[in-house]
Amino acid sequence: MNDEEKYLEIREKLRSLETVHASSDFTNKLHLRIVEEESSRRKEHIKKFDAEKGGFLRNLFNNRQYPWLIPSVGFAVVIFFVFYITFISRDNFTNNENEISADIKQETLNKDNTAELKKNTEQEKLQTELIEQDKERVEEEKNGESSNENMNNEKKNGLTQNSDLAFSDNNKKRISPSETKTENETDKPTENKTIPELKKESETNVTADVKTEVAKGNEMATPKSRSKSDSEKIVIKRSKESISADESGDNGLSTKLDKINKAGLENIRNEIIK
Amino acid sequence: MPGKSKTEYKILTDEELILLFQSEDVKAFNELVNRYKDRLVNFIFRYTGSREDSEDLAQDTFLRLYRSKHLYVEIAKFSTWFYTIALNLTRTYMSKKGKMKKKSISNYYEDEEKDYDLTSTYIHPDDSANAATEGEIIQRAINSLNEKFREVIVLRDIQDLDYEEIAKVTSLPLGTVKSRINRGRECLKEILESLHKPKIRK
Repeated sequence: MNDEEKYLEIREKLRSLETVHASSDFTNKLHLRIVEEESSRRKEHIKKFDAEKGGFLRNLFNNRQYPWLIPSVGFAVVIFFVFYITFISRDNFTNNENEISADIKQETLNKDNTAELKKNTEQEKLQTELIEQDKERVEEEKNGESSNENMNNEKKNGLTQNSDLAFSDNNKKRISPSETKTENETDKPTENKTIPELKKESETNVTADVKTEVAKGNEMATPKSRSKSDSEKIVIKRSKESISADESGDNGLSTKLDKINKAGLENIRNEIIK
Repeated sequence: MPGKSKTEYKILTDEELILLFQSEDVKAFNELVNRYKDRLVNFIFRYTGSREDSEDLAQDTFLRLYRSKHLYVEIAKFSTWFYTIALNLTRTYMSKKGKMKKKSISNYYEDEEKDYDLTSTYIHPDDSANAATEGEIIQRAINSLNEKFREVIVLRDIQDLDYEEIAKVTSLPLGTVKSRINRGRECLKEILESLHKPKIRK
């Protein structure tokens, strides 16, 4: 028995079932749905197109209208890079090297200049100290000269007084030893001597004093003449230094040296005048 | 062939119409809709048991056809391809909706061919007694069938597709299709008998 025949009754029942028809507006609904679907698809497509819409290069290379652009642009880019590497970057490298060497040189020069400036300042300090010392010396010497002059005047006065006293005391036959001691330490006491002897002694003392004074004057004169020559040498040296300083361009130093020279010359003049 | 009349489209076969539609002829699509809309709605209604769902699912199927017309290859029969689309859509819909509440003993075993399938949709005898027509009773019996049997029985005994077509639509071997159809009929007969007996006893 065939299966179809076996279940014939059920098959007939199933076939006898009413066929369900689609509603009358089925096609209209379907068309509406299709239109909606298409519009949504278009919107999605537009969105996708907008999303895919890249930049200038992307559009350029994605577009199949210009297939020759890709190799040509690639070749141009490669040439540009080669040119850049060979020329521009090398020039930049050399320029950088030159700049670095120039900076190093400038730094060394600055260091040298600072060292020179330090030296110059030290020299200036020394010179100012020397100038001050010279001034002090000049002042001291001036003071000393005035005191010497006073002393000499006093001595001269003292000598005349002593001679007068000797002559006066010869009459009185006696001179106090303390006074003579103060006058001349080498002098011996003149006790128990006669008037002519005393006169002679006094004359010899006077002559000795004069001689000592002359000798002193000579002594004073001789170192002065020596100092004259020395000072001249110093002046020449300083003038040379000033010239060298002028040559080197240190005007401040030259002026100071000139001042020193002037001070030295004034000293020498004063000494000569004395 | 853009200048064809309605009668000319009616002469054309389904395969010719779909080819025309593939070349952007919307009238061919309309002709296909006219030919298949009732059949499709009927198939889906017998499968789902819901009128509204059948209309919506039929429209979805036509929309799918409209959208993916280029997927059709001339080798296959159009009706087979179209029913395959409809069946897949209905299956996914049914699985989503969870209408088919079944408890299958065969799920405990890997062998599908074991005939332990029982329906969970219990039809009360009073319901069958209150049913107005014979058609409704049969429809309830179909709805109470297992999904495996239901789809093949609907395709064979309501839609009049041959075994080979059903095998292609369901993508099952021909023997499996035949056995399922027979078992489905047996189950349906039992259900119908169980529905009629209490009525007779009453």
